[in-house]
Amino acid sequence: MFPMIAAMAIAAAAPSTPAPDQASRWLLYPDAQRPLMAYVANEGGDQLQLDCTQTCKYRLVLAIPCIGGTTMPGIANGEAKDVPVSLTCRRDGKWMILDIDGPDLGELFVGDKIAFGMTSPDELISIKRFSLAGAKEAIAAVKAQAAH
Amino acid sequence: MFQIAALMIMAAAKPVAPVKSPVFGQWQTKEEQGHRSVYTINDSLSLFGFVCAKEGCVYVVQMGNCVEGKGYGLLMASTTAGGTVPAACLDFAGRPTFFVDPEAIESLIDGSEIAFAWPIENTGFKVSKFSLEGARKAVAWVTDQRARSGATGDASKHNAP
Repeated sequence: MFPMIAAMAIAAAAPSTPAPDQASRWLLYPDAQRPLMAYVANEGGDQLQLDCTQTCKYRLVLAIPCIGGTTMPGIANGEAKDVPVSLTCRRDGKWMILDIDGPDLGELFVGDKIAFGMTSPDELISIKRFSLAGAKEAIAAVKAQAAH
Repeated sequence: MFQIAALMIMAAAKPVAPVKSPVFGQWQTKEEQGHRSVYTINDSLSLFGFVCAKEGCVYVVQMGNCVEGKGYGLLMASTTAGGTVPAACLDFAGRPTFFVDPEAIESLIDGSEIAFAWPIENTGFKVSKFSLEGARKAVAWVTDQRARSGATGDASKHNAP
């Protein structure tokens, strides 16, 4: 029961924009002692998350609408390589929550930034870019907690 | 078959004086030695076109400087659909050009606009958008011209709606 409640809490909390001094750096949720999720926000308020509430899953939370259950193609572009990904919309509404399926995204977490290109109903193609500052440590902490 | 057609069209791309150039919406037509093409050019001078030679037809996209001989994953979306597609970067009329299998784009050209993106260095993306006004008729025209010349193959799928 707890994981479901936690997941709902995370989903509800995730779109909130971090304080300015926390933007562009990976953070832990709910705290550093028992982190269930690592995430980073960009200037537009979009988020890239690693959610280990249940199984560890990367996802995007974007301020654009999508239809629950639909899947769209995308490309993840890191500084070392790029890979095709599949983005599945988890719910309707104001925020688009996209589960990311594809090759291990861990290989893309090299350098300072990562970007996602995806099809978008309003812009045709949308590009979202995120900082990787603190990503390695935050992701390791969440995965360690999940394995605990 | 697609790769062979792409290479043959690439080899045939030798500009000569155009014979006849009808226009379909935002799409121009060009008839040159060895191939016929229809295309549109956007404000950034990027080009999206459909090229037919005796060996077959391909969609071509000229945007940025892809590395010739290298394969890429192109992200594409129109007002009707979207997807990713493998694209080969080859020289075409002196410019590095993405060659895309016609079947991969066929369902997208009925919209009003189409966009392509490909990943570039430093987590960037090169994005280009093109008008599809007249695209369907232009593709039908070039396909029909190819059929009239006696060629058969991939382009037979591109008949007028």
